[in-house]
Parts: sequence; C-alpha cells; structure tokens
Amino acid sequence: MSKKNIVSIEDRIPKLKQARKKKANRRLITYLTIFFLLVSVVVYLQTPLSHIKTIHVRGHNQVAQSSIIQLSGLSTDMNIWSVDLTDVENTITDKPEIRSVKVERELPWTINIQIDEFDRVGYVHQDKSYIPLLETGELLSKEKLKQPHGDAPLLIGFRDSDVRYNMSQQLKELPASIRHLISEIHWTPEPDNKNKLRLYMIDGFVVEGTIRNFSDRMKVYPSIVSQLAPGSKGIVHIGVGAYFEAYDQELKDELEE
Amino acid sequence: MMKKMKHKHTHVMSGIFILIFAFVFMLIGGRFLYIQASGTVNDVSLSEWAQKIRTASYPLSAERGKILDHNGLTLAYDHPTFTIYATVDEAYTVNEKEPKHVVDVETTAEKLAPFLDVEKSYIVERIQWGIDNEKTQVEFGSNGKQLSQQTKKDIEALSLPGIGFTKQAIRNYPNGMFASRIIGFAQKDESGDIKGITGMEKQMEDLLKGEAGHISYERDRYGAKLLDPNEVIQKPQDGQDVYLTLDQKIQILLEDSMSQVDETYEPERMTAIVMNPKTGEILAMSNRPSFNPNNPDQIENWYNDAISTPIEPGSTLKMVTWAAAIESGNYNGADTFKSGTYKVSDLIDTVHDHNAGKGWGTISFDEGFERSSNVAASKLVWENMGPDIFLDYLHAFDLDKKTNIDLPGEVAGKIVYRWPYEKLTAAFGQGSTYTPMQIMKAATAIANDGQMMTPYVISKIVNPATGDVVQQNEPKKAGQPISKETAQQVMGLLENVVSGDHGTGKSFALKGYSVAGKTGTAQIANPDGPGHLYGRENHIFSFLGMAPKDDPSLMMFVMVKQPKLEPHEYGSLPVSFIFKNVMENSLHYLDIEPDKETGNEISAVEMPELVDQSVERARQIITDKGLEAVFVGNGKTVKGVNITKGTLVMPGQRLILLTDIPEMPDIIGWSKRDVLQLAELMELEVEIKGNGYVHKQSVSEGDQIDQNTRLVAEFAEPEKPATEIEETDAPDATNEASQNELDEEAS
Repeated sequence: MSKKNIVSIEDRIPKLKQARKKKANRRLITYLTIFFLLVSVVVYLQTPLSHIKTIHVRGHNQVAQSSIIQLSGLSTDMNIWSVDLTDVENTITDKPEIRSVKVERELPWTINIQIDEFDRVGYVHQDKSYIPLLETGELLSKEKLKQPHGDAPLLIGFRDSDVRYNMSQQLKELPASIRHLISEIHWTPEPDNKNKLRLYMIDGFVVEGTIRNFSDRMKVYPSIVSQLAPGSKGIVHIGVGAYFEAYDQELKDELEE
Repeated sequence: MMKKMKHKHTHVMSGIFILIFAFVFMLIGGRFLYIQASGTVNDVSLSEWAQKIRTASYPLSAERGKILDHNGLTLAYDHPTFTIYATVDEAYTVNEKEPKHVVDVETTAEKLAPFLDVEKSYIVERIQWGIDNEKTQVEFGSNGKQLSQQTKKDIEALSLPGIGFTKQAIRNYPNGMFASRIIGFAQKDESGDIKGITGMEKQMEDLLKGEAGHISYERDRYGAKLLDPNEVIQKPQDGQDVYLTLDQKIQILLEDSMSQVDETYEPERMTAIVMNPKTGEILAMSNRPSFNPNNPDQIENWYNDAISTPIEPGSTLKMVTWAAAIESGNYNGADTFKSGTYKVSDLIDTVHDHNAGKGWGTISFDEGFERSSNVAASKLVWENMGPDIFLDYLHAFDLDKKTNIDLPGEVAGKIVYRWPYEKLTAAFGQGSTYTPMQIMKAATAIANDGQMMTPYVISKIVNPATGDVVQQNEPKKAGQPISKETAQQVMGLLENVVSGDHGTGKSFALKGYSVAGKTGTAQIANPDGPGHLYGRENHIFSFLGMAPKDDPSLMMFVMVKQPKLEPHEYGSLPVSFIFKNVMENSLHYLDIEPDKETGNEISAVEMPELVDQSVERARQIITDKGLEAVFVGNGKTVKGVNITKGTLVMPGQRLILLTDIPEMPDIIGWSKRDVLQLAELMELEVEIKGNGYVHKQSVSEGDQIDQNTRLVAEFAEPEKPATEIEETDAPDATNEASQNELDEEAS
C-alpha cells in the first residue's frame, strides 16, 4: 500500500517537461498575437486603409454638397479616426443657411453628414442681383445671384431691413405650399401705411395686403381663389373681410371669408 | 398916522397870506405825508394797486381728458385751433427794425387774404378800422377763427409784422358719427369752457374737465417783462382720460352696416349692441337716428334707445321662457303639443302661432322653439311651470330692473302681469317691455354657463400726466338665474334656430362660425289707440345671436323697427345684414378660430414621382391629382420637373415637365417664378424685364434650345382693359376707402 503510493520522480519528469513546453508555447502565441495586432493597427493607421473613402451629404437642397464638404474640412486622404465629429458639426453649423448638422462615422470608410437647412423664403432684389433671404431673416450677401432660382418668391423693393425681417418672419409662418404660389412680393409703402404689399401670384392674380398678419390672412388665399369664376382676373384684397376686385367688369364678388 | 395905518394894514394882509399859504402847504404836505405813511388813497392800497397795474395775468386752461377705446385709440380729444389777430398800434414797436405792428397794410392784406379765404379789401378795411378807432388789435371775423395748425404755420412762414395768433381748443370726434350715444358730445358754453352735454362727456364731466391754472408776471407799460417779474405759475391740472370698453374697429363695422341699412330700408329706428358675454363689456353700440358729435345741431332723438327705450321684444324673449321651464324642471323637449292656436278658456283671448294660427300640427316642444311657436311658449308658462314660477324667473333674469350699466339715462322696462292674457303674451315677449340692454344682460346667463354679467362701458380711468390708473373696472357678476346644464341646453336649442331644418334664423348663419340665436318679430302697440299696428312692415324685427356657439366670444342684439321692404324681401333681411356683416368681420378681427368648415377648404396634394415616367403616364397621374402641367417639348418621357417629389402642391401651381426633346413653350402670361423654374430646368440664361406676367418672349414658341440660348422675358402688370379703367375707377375709390377703414393696419 505504501509502496504503491510512492511515484518516482523519474516517472513524472516527462509530464512536467511537457507541461512546461505547453506553457511556453501559449505565452509565445499570446505575445505574437499582440505583436501582430499592434502591427496591423499600425499598418491600418499608416496606410490608406484607414482613410475616408466616401463622404455622404444628405438633406441639402440649397447648399451644394461640395461646399459643405469643403466647409467640413474633410477629405478622402484623411484618417477617419482623426476627425473630431463635434468640431466638424460646429464648423458646418456656423454657415448661416444651416439649422443643424449630424456627422457620423460609418466604418470602414464612410462619413455621413446629415444636414437640416433653413428655408429660403425669398430672393431679395438689390442692385440688379438677387440675394437669398433665409427664414431667420438673414441675407446671404455672399451669394449674389444674377439669375435667381425658382424655389422662392422674389422680394422687390425691400430696402428697409426691419421691413425685410418682418416679411421673412411672415413668410416663415406661411405654409410652404402657399409660399409656392407667390411669384413676386413688392413692398409698396404708403404714407399712412408703411406695411403695404403687392403680390403677383403664379396663378395670375394680384394680391394686395399688408405685412402685419400676412401669414394668417394669406392662408385663406386658396379658398378665396377657388370661389372665383374661372378665368376671372383682378386683385384679391386680403384684410379684414377679404374681397375680390375684378378688372374687366363692374361685377365684384364680395367674399366675406 | 396914515403911514402907520398903511403899514399896519400891509402887515395884516401878509399875515393872512402867510396863513393861507401855510395852511395850503400843510394841507398838501400833510396829504403827502399821510399817503407816504399809510400807503392808501381812498382806501386803496397803493402798492397793491401798482402791482395790479404791473401784473399781467392769464388763465391757463386745462386740457380736457380724452375718451379712448379699449385699445387706446382716441375717440374724443381737444383739438387746438387758432384765431388770427393783427396789432395796429404803433406803440408796440420798440425797435424800428423789428416792427411789432402792421406796417404795410396793403401787402399784409394781400398775403393774408388767400389763407383766410376772404377778399383783400375786407382785411384792409378791418385794419384801417382798427387804426382809425385807435384800437390795439383787430380780428377778422369768423374766417379768422378756428384756423388749423397748418394754416397757422403757413401764415407764420410769411413773417408778416404785427400778425399773431391766440390758441383755443375745440372738442373733436375723429370718427364722426360713432357711438354718439355713448360718447355724447361737449361744447363751449357762454364762458368759453368746453362742457359735456350728453353721454360719457356729461357723465364723466368732473373727471374729464380737469382744473384750470393761471400765470402772472409783472411788466412795463409796453408789455415787456420786468427784470424781476415775480412770476407765479399755477399749472393747470389736465383732465383724466376715460378708456371705454368699445372697440373702434367693431364700432366702425357696426356704424357702416347700420348706415347702409339706414339708406336702403329707411327704418324708423334701429338699435344694435355688441357685447363680450363673458365679461359684460360693451364692444360696440349704436342707434339710428344718430348724430355727428362734431356738428350736433340737428339731433332728432336725444334718447339712447338701447338703454332708454323699452320695447316689446317679441320672440327673442322665448329663450328666457324656455330657460325658465328647463331650470324649474318642467320641460321635456320630446313632449308634443298641438300647435296653431291655444285657448285657455272662453274668458281669455286665444293665442295664435305666427303663421296666422295655422300651426304645424302636433310637434315637439323642441321643434316649437325652432319654429318660434307662441302656443308652445304659452303652454310652457300656463301649464308646465305655472305663471308664478315664470314671473320669478323674469325677476331672476333682472328683467324687472335696470341693468346698472354705467351710462346716463337708463330706464327699466315694465313687466305687465296682471291678467291671464298678459301672462300668456309675456311668454313670447309681447305686452311687457324691456330695453335691448336688459335682454342682452339676461342673455349673458345663457351664453355664460348660467352666470349673468352686468354690462359696462367704462374700462378704466387714467391720469394722462402720470399714466396711473385711477380707476379700473372689472367684470361684475349679476347673479346666476340658471344652472350650467340649463344654459347649455338652451344654447343647443338656440343653435337649432339657426342651423335646424325648421329654424326661423337660417339667414343668420355665419361663414366659418356656428351661431346660437333667436329671431324676433314683435308687433308694435298702436300709439293712437288700443291694439297693435297691422301690416308687414309694421313690426320690430330683431335678432339676438352669439358665436361661436360652444364658447361665445361675441353676442349681438340687432333691432330694426319698421323698415321699408320690397315685396319679395323678408323683414329679417336688414337685421341679418347687420348681424352677419358685423359678427363675421369682428370674429375674424378678434382672431377667433372658425369652428365650422366653410365647405371650400382647399387642400394641398403631395407631389408624385414623375421623372422618367412616360409622358402619357405623367399626364394621367397629374389629372388624377387635379393638378395642371405644362409639357416642354414633344418627347416621350419626362426628364425633369420643377417641383421635387413629396412636397405639397396647391391647385393653381404650374407644374413644368421637361420632356426628352425640349423646345421653347409659350410662356405668355407666366409669372416670374415659373419662368425662372423653366430656365433652371432647361438650363437657360434668362433676362427679366419689368414686373408681373410675361407679355413678350424673345425665343418664340417651338424654337429649339441649347445651352447658349438666351431668353429675354418682358413682364407687365396683368391686363386691364384700357377703356374700362376710367369707368371702374370711381366706384373702386369708394370701395377702397371704406375697406381701408376696416383695415386694421390703416390706423
């Protein structure tokens, strides 16, 4: 019994040896793995593998994609990890047309820029060129256009900056679908009423009204026009008790809308 | 001896002389001494007298307070005017180079004449008369009075020597005939002070007039101030400003509407009141005949009919009858009765329904209200609740007393309730009388969840110098005759009068707002004998309505007495004209959200995907959506569109669809924006000339287009037929003028 219990050390050596070898091997593999991982990280970071390949800009209508990318300072030879996202967001938001920006990495190679712009509520006619007016009331003086786009009404005669601001706020309140019906807005101040407006609508009617409560009163424009006889032409007066003044006949439709 | 005698004689004589002289000397000297010492002559203190001579004193008149509407727009104010005078006394000119009197009579007269609108000779005559009679100053009659500030300035600019002005105030009412019964008017009395005669001007006289002050200083005989002038200034205390609950816009709407009715129908009398039923504030109130307070010479009617002339209101009072029946628990709207006539007993006169007693067969009480059945009202009072309970409710609605409105001259109507027939007629508003204001007050309970409000006109009183509010009037509750539930049930009945199938008030429906109200057609008691007047026009037509029904912001009573009607016209026509005109515009003006569909709401549609569709398919989609489009070119597929997919498009907007074979379309009549969108689609360079709509295009229709094409578009105002401009101009001017008054921005 006691003999059985005694195991010679010689018997145990090969096992020990084996165990020792195994341990060394494992350690080696670990080290090697770490080493290669580090190498691959360095390789990734040092080669074009980590560079931005594509920049997606979404949600832009007015501002060109290129100008946003240029503004963001991002380029395709930049390391995707070196980009400070909040920093980029801040620089882009500084542009007056931009309401908000969201910048995201989409690995491996893409940066997504989701922007939300302020609406252009008009193009202000000044010195033979047209300057976009934002819903914030800000004029994009840098972006003078010889030929305005057709996406917003033309504002003519708005030299007074306060009046222009008020107009922009009223246009902002107006539903876009009604804004799309306006072709030109002329500021036609009179001595007793500084706020007078004359509008040329896309459907051929002329509207006379005032800046104050413009957005509220203009909301009923489509229903006013729908009540007019087809083919009639004239001036729609919006105010307390809107009415239509036809050009070609004595008949005047009173609209108590 | 002789010599001695003579000598002696001489001595005596000289002595006498000495005595006489001494006496006279003493007398005069003593007088001097006395005056010197006492300083008085004939009991007049010399120093006081001297000061009086030296001192010039003028009263400084206080400015009368203004009357304003609740937004602070002025309804009555003191308007300064000027009286011109000419100084003719040469003594006033101290320095030859700066003459202070009229030097050249002829030139002065010539220059002045056109401003005063008189002959030159008249002015010469006046000045000459002044010189001849050694006057210091002359005035120029009525033409030289009440000159405007502008005329004064113009004359001063001529720098005529000796011409000066004195300032007076006249009471001015900028809106003319405008709430004349409420505001009243003020005029100069004999002493030259402005004094209130009627209305608010009289009621608030003590607050409005203020307290006059004065100024005094000492001057030499030429009128120049002394070096030490002892100036005393007692500043005048200006009158306080009275703010009314009236709203100028609503009042103007009301006055305009009533004037139009007055012209067309020439009614005997008219009264209308607009009120905020939640507070009791009177927003507008007017009567006809009225007057212009600026020129109050011909006043036909000194009474404010709305509060001073009780009338038999007729069916409008049925709302009180029904409210009383419901509140006392004696009403079931589904119960039926036999309409037509109602005979309680042989001793009592029969009650007839208004269609000559024909009635409508057996109908429910709810329908009876809708049809304004007198039989239903009488039955409710006589059978359902009993006359005594109804009388209690008439009292609970304060119909037996004054409304306590803060206006002068209020009179209460009289409830006639002795004989059975009187009790029956009281149920439908005949026999007993009430003022329109009493009925309005009673109706506030129905509009206001049972809470009755006291009407009032004065909103606050403000000290103009400090801006402090001296007195602020708050809405005053006047009891709760009915419960909230009853009020709401009556509101429902009232709504059916206007919107129900059998409603008598259908012509009072408003666009955009639900109305609850009750019509009334009252007979007029014959002034020359017993009974009532007959004939279609010999009625008082009235309506009491509130809107929007669920939460009334405005309540209005209109009453028109004996209008002249065309054979085909309903008697309620002038009433509904005033009601609708005033209510609709006022509700819009107060920015009350319309609670009713107007039936022609236009909705936008979403822009469909059209790019790369075939032209036929695109055409199909567009027609389905109810839109209109212009196809550019004769290609087969759509290559571009001016509106991005998904945006909302209104009918009337022009869709421009670019086909794969573009060519120039006809753009005559297009707006600038359309042209710009076209240019963008076609990548055209475009030059814009003028404003409005295209009337000339440089590239003609059907021309091919490439990148180098340059389009010159000439725009012009929409066409007005040249010959008709003159004809339409005149009516336009009046139309626009009246519209401007209504226009909020205009003030």
